[in-house]
Amino acid sequence: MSELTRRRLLAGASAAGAALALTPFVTTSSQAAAPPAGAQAPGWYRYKVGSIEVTVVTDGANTFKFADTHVGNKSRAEINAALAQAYYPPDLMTTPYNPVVVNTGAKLVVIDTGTGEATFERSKGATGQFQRNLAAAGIDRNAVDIVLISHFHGDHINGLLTPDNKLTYPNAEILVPAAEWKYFMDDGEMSRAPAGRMQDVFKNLRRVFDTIGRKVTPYEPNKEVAPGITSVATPGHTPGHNSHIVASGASKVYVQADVTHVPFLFVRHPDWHAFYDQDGKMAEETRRKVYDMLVAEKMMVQGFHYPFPSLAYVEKSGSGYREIPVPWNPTI
Amino acid sequence: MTDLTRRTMLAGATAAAAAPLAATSARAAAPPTGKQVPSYYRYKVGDYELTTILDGVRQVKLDASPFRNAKLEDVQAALGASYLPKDAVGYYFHPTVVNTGSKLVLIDTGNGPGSIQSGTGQTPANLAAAGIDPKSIDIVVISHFHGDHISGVRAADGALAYPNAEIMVPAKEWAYWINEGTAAARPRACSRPSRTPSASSVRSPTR
Repeated sequence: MSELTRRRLLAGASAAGAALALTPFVTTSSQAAAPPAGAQAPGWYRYKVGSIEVTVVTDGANTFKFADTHVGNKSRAEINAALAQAYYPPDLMTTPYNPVVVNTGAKLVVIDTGTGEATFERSKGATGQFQRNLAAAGIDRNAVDIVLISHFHGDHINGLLTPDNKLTYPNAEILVPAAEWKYFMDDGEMSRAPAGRMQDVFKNLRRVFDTIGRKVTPYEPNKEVAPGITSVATPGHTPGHNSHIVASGASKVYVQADVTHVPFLFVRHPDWHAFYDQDGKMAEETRRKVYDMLVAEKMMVQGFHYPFPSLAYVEKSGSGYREIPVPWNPTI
Repeated sequence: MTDLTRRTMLAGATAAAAAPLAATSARAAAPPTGKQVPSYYRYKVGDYELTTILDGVRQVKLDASPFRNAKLEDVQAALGASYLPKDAVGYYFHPTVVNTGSKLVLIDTGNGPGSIQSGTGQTPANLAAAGIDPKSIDIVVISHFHGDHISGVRAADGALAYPNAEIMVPAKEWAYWINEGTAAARPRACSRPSRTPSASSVRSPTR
């Protein structure tokens, strides 16, 4: 106690806050602390939907300087204002990639595959983490029965291939949206696609699908593509974009894929047309339809580009919506 | 592509949503793991590395309003607005580890080993998952003397949970709770045993 009192007096004597901060209160032994860990917690998170086990497995996140054309109908200043409102720095876009694994009891299903393990080294570990986190989650990629693809952008399909261009999931059937397959595998569509980004999208997806000998199974919307998993057409982001409802008992989660991109911009502002929405107007119509439904049904949404673990409810907010993240559950 | 066509036709033939599109092998899926990821999260504040550690979540049934100036229905409305259940409140407990480069500091200790049954007391397990050795903690900084902040100073066997750490406590808190003179004057509501630290559970600063 006398020791304590002396310290208080000393603290009192140094009066100014600044002086206090500069003079550490605590013991000043020369011993260094344990080295910093420098590593994040394993990037997976699990929850139940009825009897179905869902595991969110992050592929990581990419941070880049965005172009003036990032959102076609909004200026850089407007984007920066929205970023500031969400406490993000200006001029930088941070895009998380969070596929999910669904164990229906009968089938082990991976929904979308991430940017591919090959990006891990290129990005210094920022992306391409999916296989590492999948293993950390105790899931064997050889045990995956179905890979369910929402649409053909690289961050959703590139993980179908290992860095040496083998099948990542050798025992899985690969399900792709029929409309997406029809559009993107059509040589006429490819020849009419604008040079630049759209040509690159075509080239990349054909690289991926040609490498696996085009061995895929197209699926239609409104089908139970795996037990408890139903496809929903959500076009606009791409022509054949599909989302998936995972349902068991009274529980449901809407695995939206790219109905919205990062929520702090595109859930708040569903009228913003990002450059990666191939048909901005149709994407907006789909977005409003889906989000009105999510609000009305009080249904959880699992957002591929939501910050990890990407699970939220949605409410109306002004002319858009606001996501309410589901609290972390340390048990399942 | 022929394979594709055949498959598509088959899928078309089964039509109904009840018939899954995917292969119908008799093999069951891999068994569910039933396991959650360890609950910690790391971030930097300048050069400092911070690790948030979850001590657990305690579900408390909501029979009456837990708050002096809020009605039960208002509490339930607030829970509903956040899409949370209305019949219980999940209370979260998050100690934080700060690695300053020169000191490894634990701020608050959680509910302690006696609370495992109620879903808390997970700080040691999550510290271990985060790769933090309790013996390497240099300082335990206590914010205040409620049980969910101090009960983790001791391990299940009664030994100090952070044997090499100096335990720092707010001087005012010490004077109020530990001084016998003020003990007599404390409000009864605050003197429930579960909320009252014993002097023996806190090591006085050594210097």
